[in-house]
Amino acid sequence: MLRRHVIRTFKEKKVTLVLLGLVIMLSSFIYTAVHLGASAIEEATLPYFDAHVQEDFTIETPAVINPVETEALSDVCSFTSTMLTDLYQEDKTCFYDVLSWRRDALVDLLDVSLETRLYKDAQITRDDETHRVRVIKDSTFINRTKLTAGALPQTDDEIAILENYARNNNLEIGDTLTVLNNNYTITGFVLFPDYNLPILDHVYMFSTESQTLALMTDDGFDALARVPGFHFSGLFLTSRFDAADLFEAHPEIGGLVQSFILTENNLRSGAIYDEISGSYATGLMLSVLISGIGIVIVGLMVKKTVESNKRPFGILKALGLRNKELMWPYLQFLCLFSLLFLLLGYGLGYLFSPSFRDLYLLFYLLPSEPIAFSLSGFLTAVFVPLLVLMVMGYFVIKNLLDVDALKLIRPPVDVPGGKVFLMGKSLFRRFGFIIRFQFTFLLRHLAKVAVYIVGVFFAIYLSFLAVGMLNVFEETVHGYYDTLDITSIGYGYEGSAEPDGEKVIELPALIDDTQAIVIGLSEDQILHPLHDRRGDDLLPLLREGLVVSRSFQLMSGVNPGDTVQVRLGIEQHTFEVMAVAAIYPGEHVFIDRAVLAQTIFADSDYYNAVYADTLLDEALYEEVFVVETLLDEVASMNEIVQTMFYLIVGTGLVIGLIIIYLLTLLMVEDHYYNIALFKVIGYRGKEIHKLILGGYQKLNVGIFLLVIPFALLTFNVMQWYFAQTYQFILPMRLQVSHVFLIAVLYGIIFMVASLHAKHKVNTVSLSAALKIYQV
Amino acid sequence: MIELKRASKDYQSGTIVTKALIDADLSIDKGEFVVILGPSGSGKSTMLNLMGGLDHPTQGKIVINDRTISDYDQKALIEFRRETVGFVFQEYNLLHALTVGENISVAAHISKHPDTVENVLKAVGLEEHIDKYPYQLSGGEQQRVSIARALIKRPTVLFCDEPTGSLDEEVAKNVLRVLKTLNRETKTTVVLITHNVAIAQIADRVIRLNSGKIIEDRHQDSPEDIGAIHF
Repeated sequence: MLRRHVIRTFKEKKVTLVLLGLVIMLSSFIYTAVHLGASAIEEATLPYFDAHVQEDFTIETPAVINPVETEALSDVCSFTSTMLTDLYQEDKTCFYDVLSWRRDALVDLLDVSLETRLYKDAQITRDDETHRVRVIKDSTFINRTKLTAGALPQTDDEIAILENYARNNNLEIGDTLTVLNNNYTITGFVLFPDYNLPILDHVYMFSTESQTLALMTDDGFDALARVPGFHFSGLFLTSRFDAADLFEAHPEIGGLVQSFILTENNLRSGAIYDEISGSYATGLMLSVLISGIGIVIVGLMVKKTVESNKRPFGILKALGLRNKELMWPYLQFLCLFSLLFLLLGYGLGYLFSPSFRDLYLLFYLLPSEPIAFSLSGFLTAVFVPLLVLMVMGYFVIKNLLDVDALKLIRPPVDVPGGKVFLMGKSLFRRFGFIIRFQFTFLLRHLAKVAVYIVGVFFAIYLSFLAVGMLNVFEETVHGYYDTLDITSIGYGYEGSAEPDGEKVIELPALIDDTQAIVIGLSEDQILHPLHDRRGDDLLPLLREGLVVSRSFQLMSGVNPGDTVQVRLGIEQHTFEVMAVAAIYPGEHVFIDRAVLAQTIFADSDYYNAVYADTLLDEALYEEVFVVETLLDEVASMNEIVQTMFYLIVGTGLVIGLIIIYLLTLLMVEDHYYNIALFKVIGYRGKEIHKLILGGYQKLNVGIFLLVIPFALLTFNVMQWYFAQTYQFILPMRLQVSHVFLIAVLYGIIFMVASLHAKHKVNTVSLSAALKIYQV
Repeated sequence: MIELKRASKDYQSGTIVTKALIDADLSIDKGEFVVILGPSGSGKSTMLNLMGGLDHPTQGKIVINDRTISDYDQKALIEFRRETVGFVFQEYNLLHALTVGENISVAAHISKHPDTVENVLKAVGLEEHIDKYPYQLSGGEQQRVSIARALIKRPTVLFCDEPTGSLDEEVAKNVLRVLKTLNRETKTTVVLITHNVAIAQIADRVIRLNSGKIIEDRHQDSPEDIGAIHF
């Protein structure tokens, strides 16, 4: 009988129940999708890293040959150039001798094992498109190649590529790929554990639509008409150390080591460890937060429902029914209702976990396992929240029923004497009647208001986070190139006449202990303007010192006026930082080209790159980089980011909508008799809405205004953290238009919820106030 | 001032029609203290709802101060209630999160020419309790606060629905004294509904209802003193 009553009671709250169910479902869904998706990667990745000996660190060495090397190898090499790339063109054997000498020198100095990692960047021609390929020379013991399908190349005209690239370009094993006008047969798909190999020159580029890593036979690699790039992959033999330890223990190593990057601090490889553990933590945190909100709302609803039945319960208790008998049907209902939505959430999470896994795989080139059922995950996603819900429900109901039958029949007035209430009220003493009234009622329902604040804050923050992310690629790549007039960049000019563009020097260097790309620009440069945040031209300052990009400033902490050591090979020079350029393309430091050329090469006309506002002739250059191609790739990545943006904003809006909707509804129920009373007294509809909903309206504005500085603060912290840990700039921004957009969206959500609340207010019976005692 | 012209009210629940008030003809003058008496289900609350503009009659007319409020839509009825009438309920209906002063201000806020909170509290003898919360007052005091809340709008008619129903005899008499004094001094018309026959003795006029019909309407030239009646 009681069971039927409970079902009938909750039947009247269908909409509320469905929305609550959605919140509960969302918590289970998020946890399951993240947990299963991350597990599928973790279970395949960690053994893969072990079996294929992922490097512990990478050492980059200078592109310039230093005098120590020249002297040490004078017996076997006749050095005619100071750049390694030039040396390769002139004497390949000598080039590899320098590499071996460097490796041995480092191994002698450090307690590590090292292997030279060689690669060549080239172009793939596909129909009318040019794609990029980084061909990696197979290693012997560190970063060994993993074959994911097919076979490794056996002959010089065979190639193995990334499966993601093949899938994106409808390529299959056995198809032909044209690299530098030579045809190669695809024999299989491969992965490499050292993802610190940036595809292209931009660490931000992770799209495999127009770029791939590849493997050829050693002979095939050697035959590829490109100058190899290289670095050293290393393993610690005994103790671990980081870059700071290294430069402190061996200050002289600066001439040999351009950069020392721990794998765990590398965005494209090491970050996966943090990503996986971070995903578990984030998934759990999001789930706990959402389920926490759901649980509290369920608690409030159960409390409300049982409270409204106090009188009949009092009578039943007076007739001899025990608390357990009264409570049992409620708990049964709660259990079935929660279990249903938790299972639904789990099922959906299971269904969507491959998508979540694949989202990772867009960025990290990693192996993965099929999604597999995990008992611990299932228990955490379903039974833990269920248990919490049941325990909470039990105590809420027990607390309400654990009084004499008479007190249930005639409940005592709920005394609003709490310290918080009285203190809060005193704060609003000086305000007008309406504000005092609105906030008095908010203070009267602190639990609900607290859930409201947390929920809406969380939902708005999620939206801000999403729009903040939306700018990342715009700022990093698009934003940068949009400010330039460069159409193409040529490297390794091989023509005899003057190049058709502006001469530039691009060199890797160490600025104090931070890795950077030093770009030598001329003052009369027009294709690469340099401005600060206010738009002032910084090119004239280059003759006096360095101009650093904003992203380099974030990574290194240098400021205008600081003096820094610029290390280019064994050469070390002191410069003053003159200004910060408002660009985010990476670790760029700008200097006057003539000064740089004279300092390093004793030739003030030296250059190694050409910036042009036309498409440079590929025949005249070793490599031509077309800006448009990069921007196209950015556009495709932006699509991914935008999908994520819509997903996160959508989730935030749904959570926000449900919370605002449910709590405004509960609020109207709380004030049912007050509303009736106001109506009888003669309050107009608008006045009642203002009194009852106005407080929440003001609260919304307050929460919104609070989220803005919080979001800005966390964006800065995240930017700083990524810059310090991964040398990756995450320029998250809040644009006024985005703030406005989210404000409008939440305004609409509140209006929709308010409309429903107003409808409820309008249906409150006038005579209710005349007969029913209000608490 | 208050006129009911063949006013009837039917309530329909499914196929069952209940006639709550049948052909009520009535006229109450300004300043009268009227008790509507009747047992439970006699139609007295229905009559009060109609006179107070809380409900529409199924048939007939309700005229208050020469305005036919039975023709009013909801919006007009709100304006009517706002300006013309005050209500006192059996269960006080005070807002427990608000102090006595704030509870009264709730009504003052929507009035064009409200009295002061201090004045109305003085009128009901509670001027010392302005900053107290309702739970700090006795039942009788709470009812007096609800009377003060009704008075602050300076209503021309005060409708009281079983205002002493939850009070013991002595406290109830105090509340009735407040209403009587108010009626005498401000000439506010008081319409009080009750099932308590004793209370009818203090009224200028008694209207008795039974099964939705007025069965008696008599004026009392010498109403009893409140102290002399026994519940």
